[in-house]
Amino acid sequence: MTAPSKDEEKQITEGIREILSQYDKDKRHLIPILQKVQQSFGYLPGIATQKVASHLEMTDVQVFGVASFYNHFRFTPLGKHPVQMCMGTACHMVGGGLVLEALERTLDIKVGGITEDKEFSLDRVACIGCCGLAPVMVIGEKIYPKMSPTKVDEALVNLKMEAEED
Amino acid sequence: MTELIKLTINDTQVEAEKGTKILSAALDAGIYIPNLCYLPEADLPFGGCRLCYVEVEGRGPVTACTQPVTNGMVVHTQTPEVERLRRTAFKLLIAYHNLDCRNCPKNKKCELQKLAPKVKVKLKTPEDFRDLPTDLLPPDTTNPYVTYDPNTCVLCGKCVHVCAQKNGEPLIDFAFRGYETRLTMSSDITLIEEKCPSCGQCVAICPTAGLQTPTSSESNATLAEGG
Ligand code: SF4
Ligand code: SF4
Ligand code: FES
Ligand code: FES
Repeated sequence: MTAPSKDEEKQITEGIREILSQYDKDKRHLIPILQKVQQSFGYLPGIATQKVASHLEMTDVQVFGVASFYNHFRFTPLGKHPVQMCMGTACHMVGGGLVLEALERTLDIKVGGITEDKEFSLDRVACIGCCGLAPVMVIGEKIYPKMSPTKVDEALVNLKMEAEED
Repeated sequence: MTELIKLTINDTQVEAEKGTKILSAALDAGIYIPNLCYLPEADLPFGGCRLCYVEVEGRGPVTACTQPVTNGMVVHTQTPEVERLRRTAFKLLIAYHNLDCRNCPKNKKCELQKLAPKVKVKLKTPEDFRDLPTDLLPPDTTNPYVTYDPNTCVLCGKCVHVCAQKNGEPLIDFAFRGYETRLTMSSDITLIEEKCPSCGQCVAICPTAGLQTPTSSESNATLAEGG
């Protein structure tokens, strides 16, 4: 996991204080709070779990236990290019898993992870509603239809070059 | 005075206080029912291991640790049906367990070793589960007082319960889901130092090698490395 910088950390602490101020100390707010935190930062930073825990008078492991149960929550930030591979039924049936494996290999990260240069993050999603184009990959807003493991490099190469130019 | 309930377990007349679970009633009467996750003092039974299946006449198989006794209840602890259920449950418990008893710190003191002959299952990876992932997961050595081995933990929940009892809140708890379910240690060292009295109760209650006190040279090395 990449640790946030001092500035980021300050920003996160501020943001979380703001979110927590809208909720009283009741455990039933746990999931809505976590959702808000993720909405604000794109992920659940480590300090968020601790701050939320102490606000709700829970332990950080309890909060982490709940959060880690759901695929919806992530613990690493999103990359500049968030890569999502559809693992809905249709995409799964026509080899989505193989594409996902190829993505993990090419990016050298696991699902839920982010590359060291913070350019790419990788997630699996459920059906995104265009099963006719299965298997479907999404990077940012762009949809890549009828994916195959061999098309992974091709799709990533432009984005990777862009990254190197910056 | 608490009300006494009369029931029959394997043709034996048994009396137990109202609210007692079938499992406790049977064990107190000297009738053995396999169990792994049961803690009599817990308000809510965990009911996770499914080893304690018994047959209640008119109701079929139930887990003995979750069902309170009722008057006139007739319980059988050894029907072919419940024995089959227990075998399956036990196989599931060891399906992706790192079964290396000879080199295991818990060898000869392990609850699974004691249970295996009782549920009539061999302590080796069951045929039907050979295709499950077998990669060993890394141990968790973040807590200076206890180390955790996800490969021998059977997720019985006992450690979480005793920790919460002792400290008013659990400093260890389950996280993730499915195959990935494992215990998490508090990641915040100040929290551990402030709250964990290093009482060792979680290690003592662990039926397997899941939780250990870091005494072996190996875990000490990992601890030193981690700072
Ligand atoms: S925990 Fe028990 S069953 Fe597992 S390897 Fe150790 S001794 Fe064997
Ligand atoms: S570490 Fe031990 S006591 Fe805790 S859940 Fe695993 S097997 Fe049970
Ligand atoms: S299953 Fe992938 S788009 Fe529907
Ligand atoms: S002892 Fe009943 S389910 Fe574990």
